[in-house]
Amino acid sequence: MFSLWYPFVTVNSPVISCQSLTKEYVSARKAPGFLGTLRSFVSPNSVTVSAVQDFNLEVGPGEIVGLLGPNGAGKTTLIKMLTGIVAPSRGIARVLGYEPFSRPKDFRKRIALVMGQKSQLWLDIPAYDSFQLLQRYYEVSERDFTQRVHSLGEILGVRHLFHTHIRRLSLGERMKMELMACLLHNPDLCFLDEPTIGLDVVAQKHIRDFFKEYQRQHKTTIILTSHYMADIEALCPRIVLVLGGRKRFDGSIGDFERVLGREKFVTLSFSEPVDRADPIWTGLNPQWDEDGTSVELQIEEESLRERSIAILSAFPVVDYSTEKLPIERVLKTLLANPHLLPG
Amino acid sequence: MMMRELGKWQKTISVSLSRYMAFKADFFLMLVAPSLVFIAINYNIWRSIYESRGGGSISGFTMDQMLQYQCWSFIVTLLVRSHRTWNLSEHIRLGRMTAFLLYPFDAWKYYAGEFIAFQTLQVVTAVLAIGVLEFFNFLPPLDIATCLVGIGFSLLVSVLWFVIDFTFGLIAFWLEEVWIFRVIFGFFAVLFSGAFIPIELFPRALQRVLEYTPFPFITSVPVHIFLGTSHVSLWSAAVTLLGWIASLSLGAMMLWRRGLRLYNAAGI
Repeated sequence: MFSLWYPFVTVNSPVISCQSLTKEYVSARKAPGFLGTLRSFVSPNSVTVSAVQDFNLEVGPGEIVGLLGPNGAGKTTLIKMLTGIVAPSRGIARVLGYEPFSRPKDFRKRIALVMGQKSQLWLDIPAYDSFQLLQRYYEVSERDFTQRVHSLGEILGVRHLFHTHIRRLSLGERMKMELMACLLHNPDLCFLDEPTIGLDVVAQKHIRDFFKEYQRQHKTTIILTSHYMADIEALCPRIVLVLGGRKRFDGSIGDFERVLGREKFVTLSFSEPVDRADPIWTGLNPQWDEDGTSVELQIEEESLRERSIAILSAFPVVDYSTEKLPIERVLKTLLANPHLLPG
Repeated sequence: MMMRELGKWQKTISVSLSRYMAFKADFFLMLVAPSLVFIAINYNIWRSIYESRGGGSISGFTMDQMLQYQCWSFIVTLLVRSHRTWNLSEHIRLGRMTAFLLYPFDAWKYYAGEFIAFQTLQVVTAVLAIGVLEFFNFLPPLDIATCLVGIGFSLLVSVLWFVIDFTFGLIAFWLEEVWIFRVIFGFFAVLFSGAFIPIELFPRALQRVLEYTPFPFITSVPVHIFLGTSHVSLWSAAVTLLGWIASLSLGAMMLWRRGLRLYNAAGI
């Protein structure tokens, strides 16, 4: 599995490149109840499950890519293979010019993985001690270390907590320390796996803003998975949708929003209840409120002007707003109807 | 380059020391207390056996010699068998190994650093324990040189124990629960290493079989070095021990490589 074209990476080479990357697990199957346990003990039954299948991906330097998909879609398994934690069953992966699973030291020095659901810091010691340990591991000079620790600590607002034991920090504070720990060595490629999970909305926004700014300054390539669409919308110009271990969409966030058509969401409020049976609403998928004084419509972009004028002149409209189909709703629709996806 | 690598080891050891020292009560209860209970039981059992026989000797051991043997066995246990890489199997099973696979400092080095930190504390504990046993006349006047050689040899044996324990931890790549293997091995180690019954009391045939295993090195050989009654030359014992360490390390390395292919980083 050792790479022959080792790390001969030019400026324009993709940071990540994988072809037909596949990960299969053997999973034990057991019928419920005591009899099932007995049967599986005598004659174990197992099936091979593909967590990731024939995955092709290219990510260029400085890109921010959002990996989207429901739980169990294979996003995290893909990240595990790209970081060299898990061995692929088949296919080729090159990350920063290295074959990830061979995990050469130079490769490990250039990547970082933030796991929202798993702490990488030592809980029994203060964060600063962990940072110093990582400084040695990543061979960061004293000058760079001091400068980075203080500037990251300042931006994230956790400098006063450096000498507190990690286990005594709140989830949000701990996550900020995790981010610091991952960025101390100034990685070229950063994998963020649910970095805002469990955080309140203020902390989520703080971390999003931090990454936006960090990426702008350092041009770090970022792969982000998150269940919070706000994270994806704020950070990722490019989206890769993973369903059942396969790549089902790869394109700009704008293209993703238009996968279901060029429809606009129009919300109207009226001064009095209006006739819901009026034929004007036909084909607009109206979603009424209880008393009939507000409605949400889906209108094709091309006919937006014409149909809006018709409604505004026919009914006592007091408020009118329009927005494109929210990405969250696009995703929900696609997850429920994967056949709507192109290809 | 060398200095950087040393710096990584030094920091790993100092952080591990801080972590052990952070929980003084846990440290004592988990690691020193069991050895204390073990010596108390052993000491009293052997004392009762000799007193019920009205003195005399058993396979050349007088009561005083047997009680001294048990005291040194306690010291050797502190030095050799206290460190447990229990967290390794847990790290594999629960996916915490992931962080160690990402750092540019190999996982085994991290565990070895933890082990060195622990042994540092154990040497201090053992020296204090020797002082206490000496003060209360459980041990005859000490020859410092013999004592230093005994501690040095015991620390070498602790490396063997570390490799064995590490190897057991790696089984977690294949099996969910590995503690049963540790318990079984621990039982055999107590029985066949001479921790409870000196090997000299075993039938000749069994003694001969044990010579081809690492068991005598775990307790019997270092205890005899402390007692000054060792029949094997120190150098040949050290070379044989190094041979065991090297071959078991090779086995651990192979297990690590194979196991890593099965690792699924559960929980993330």
